[in-house]
Amino acid sequence: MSVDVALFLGRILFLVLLYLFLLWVVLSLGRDLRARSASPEEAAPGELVVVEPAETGLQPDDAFPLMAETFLGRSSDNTIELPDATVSGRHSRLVHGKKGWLVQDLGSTNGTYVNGRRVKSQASLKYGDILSLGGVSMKLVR
Amino acid sequence: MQAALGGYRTRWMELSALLLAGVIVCLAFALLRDAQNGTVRPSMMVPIVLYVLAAFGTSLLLGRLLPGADQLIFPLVTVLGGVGLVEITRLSPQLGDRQLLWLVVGDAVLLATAVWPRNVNWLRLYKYTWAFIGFALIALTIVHGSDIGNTGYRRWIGFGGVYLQPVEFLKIFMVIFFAAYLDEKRELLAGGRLVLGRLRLPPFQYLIPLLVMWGLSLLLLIRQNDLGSALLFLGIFLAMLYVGTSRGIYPIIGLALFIFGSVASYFLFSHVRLRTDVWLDPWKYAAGGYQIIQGLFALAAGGIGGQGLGQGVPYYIPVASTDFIWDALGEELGLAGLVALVVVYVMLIFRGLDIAVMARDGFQKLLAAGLVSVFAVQTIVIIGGNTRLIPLTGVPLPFLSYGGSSIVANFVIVGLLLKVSQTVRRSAWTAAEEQATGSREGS
Repeated sequence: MSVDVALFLGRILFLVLLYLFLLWVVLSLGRDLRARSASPEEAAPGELVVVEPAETGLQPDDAFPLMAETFLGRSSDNTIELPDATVSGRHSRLVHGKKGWLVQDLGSTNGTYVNGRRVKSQASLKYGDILSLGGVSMKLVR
Repeated sequence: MQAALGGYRTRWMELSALLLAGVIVCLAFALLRDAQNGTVRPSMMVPIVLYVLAAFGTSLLLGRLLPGADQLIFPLVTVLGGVGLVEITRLSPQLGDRQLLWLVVGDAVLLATAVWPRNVNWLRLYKYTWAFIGFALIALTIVHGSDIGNTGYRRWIGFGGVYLQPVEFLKIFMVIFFAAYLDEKRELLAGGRLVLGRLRLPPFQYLIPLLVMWGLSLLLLIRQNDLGSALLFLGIFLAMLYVGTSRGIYPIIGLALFIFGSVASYFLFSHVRLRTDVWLDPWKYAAGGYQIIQGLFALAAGGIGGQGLGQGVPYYIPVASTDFIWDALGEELGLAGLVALVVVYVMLIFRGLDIAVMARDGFQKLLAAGLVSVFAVQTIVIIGGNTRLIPLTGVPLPFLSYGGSSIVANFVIVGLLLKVSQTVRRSAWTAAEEQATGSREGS
């Protein structure tokens, strides 16, 4: 094979590979975007319905829509604000992932409970479970 | 968060893309040597193999230092750097060797940025210090600079045989300053509450420090006759103001001021007038128009498929390895190659903006947006200038042009972007899910 032909083929191969690289990057990008399609700011399936409002001024059956990442606590920078003396400033966090809901206690004073059982660091939360923060109780519904 | 540093994760997406990138640049290098000598001698492949190995090593170390960081930016940058290295070596083997050195130093700088600062937010604490260092460096070039490019202006500082172009680092310092300042004042106005995606408008008096900083950098650059950098700083400034305030009025006012300023400087400064006249009709100006005409000839000679690497005559273009690398590549790779390279830039910028969108911290959001706009504006300004879309102003084409300061500064930018993306990925949300699914992360 003459040098000219080899060079010509090499040139074509170079361009083909360059475009293949781009294709590969685009495919990886798509995979990456799908993998994190559930972003923390997106609404996630479920609501918290108030069962025991304690001193928060809420009414039983008040419902809070949930984000894929939801913070609960007494201070106003939480996704769900619960102004009750038994609730800590930043009390707990709810996370929605591939395996459903997860609740984490963020070092609260009076603890986070799922169906009356204290959450050590985190626990999974199913629809119908009762979530309690200090004296406030709420039910996770779909 | 810190536990993430203890974990290791092989960055497969990055490694697979790097493998393809390595094959591409090695093939490009082989073609080049082939055309010049008729044969390929294995020893000639040493520089490019070193380059590819350095990239692989960097990726493996990143798996340790920033396991969760973005995995597409580095391969994109590696392709650009590699193609640039091949073309520069083809234009001047001597410059090529130095570019290889700078690229490897760049990889090392990227890794260094991954280690230090440990937390990107540390940077915001010293915003005035950064701005001051940047200005001090530029001021130093005015009083004690060297003119190694024969531009008639002293834009370099020499330290024992190594020459640096401080303006390349000033742009990073300015982005850090703008990001820190804009974020700080926004929090102040929003009552300490960080509102994502809805950044409030600062009253005019809060804009004054920004305008002063920008004006100062502009004055220094005008003093140095560095129009390209002045344009770059305007672009960064407006982009960050827009991201920081989400007010479309700022870019519009900025654009109006820019048009006014351009018209004014056309009448005020003779070199601006010359640039514009040359742009409008390069054939009339033998001295100034020569570069751009040679560049256009090169693009025409390249056509759609290009002459082939090593087979064109890009050395007829003046300053082909820095300001006119785009036209040199156009001659040898053709429209097909240039389009692919534009797509690489678009992906790089898309990825950077994506990091900004995903960042949860206001400062990091602005930092990522600002840093990526550095790449975006530089790419537009120099490619536009090379193709006679806009008047030519000399800024380096990121990662493709020859230049140590530019390469090193760009790798610092990549390092900072990766660091921001690491905190994005390792946000509380992901960490919690990983913990829940029993990942060994952060043991």
